[in-house]
Amino acid sequence: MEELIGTFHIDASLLIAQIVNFLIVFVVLYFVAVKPLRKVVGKRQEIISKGLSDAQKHEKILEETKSHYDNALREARKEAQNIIDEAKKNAQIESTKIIKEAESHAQKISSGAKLLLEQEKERMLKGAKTELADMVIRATEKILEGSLTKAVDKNFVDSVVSSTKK
Amino acid sequence: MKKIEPQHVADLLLQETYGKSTSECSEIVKGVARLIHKYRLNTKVNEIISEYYSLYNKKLNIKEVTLTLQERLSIQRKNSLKNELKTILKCNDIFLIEKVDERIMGGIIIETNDGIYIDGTVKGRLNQLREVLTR
Repeated sequence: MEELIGTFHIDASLLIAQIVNFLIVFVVLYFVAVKPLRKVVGKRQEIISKGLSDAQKHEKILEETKSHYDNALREARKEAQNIIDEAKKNAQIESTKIIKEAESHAQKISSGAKLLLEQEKERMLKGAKTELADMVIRATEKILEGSLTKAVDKNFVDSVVSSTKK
Repeated sequence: MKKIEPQHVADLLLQETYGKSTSECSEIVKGVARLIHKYRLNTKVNEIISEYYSLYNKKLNIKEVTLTLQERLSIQRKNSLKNELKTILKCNDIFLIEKVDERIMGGIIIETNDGIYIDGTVKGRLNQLREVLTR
């Protein structure tokens, strides 16, 4: 051992001093650099793992959101289709109703016009009949004025009285 | 007090005077006149007389007939018509009222007090003709 120490010129006290020095430097470095560094690295790792976890969460949320969005979109499309169908149906009903009303209105107008025409015809016919009757009666009165003698009147009265007997 | 109507007085008068002599009737009429005065029916004398005639005619089956003609009838013609109407109306006598209306243009209207109305005039026939023509 001594040979070895002599060969390599190892000074035991120096070695011990160097070891102590090394230990001191190691302890100092451990507390000043390694520990804070390890702490920083630990925090960093924590942040990274949190970030990863958050990213996964966000991805999941995104997936869910996308699914919701798709569902909502599907529902909205379905709803819109229903609304369109309903609107079409209502429009069809409304148009049928309007057409029916228009037909009925036209029918009424036509009936009214026919009725007016009939009334006018009736009025004219009645007027003509009255005028004709007046003419006939006036002419008959004129004829009778000249021809209704006392004898004729007596016969007429007798015929009225004898017809009363029956 | 019971209310006395003209019909009651006329009925009483007829019952009391029917079949009685003129002097008896005169006394009865005086009594009825006092009754009329008592019950303050003086304003209804015309109504009483009219009602009396109506009851009298009914009792004796006499009918009041109004004839409307274009000209006044001769007495002979009037009697002839009266006899015919007596047969037609199945009554004992006729009280004839004659009216003249030139507008009828001939013929006759026979109207009785019990609602019979016969229009046998030229004017009436012409009106019927007018109705037929305008129908």
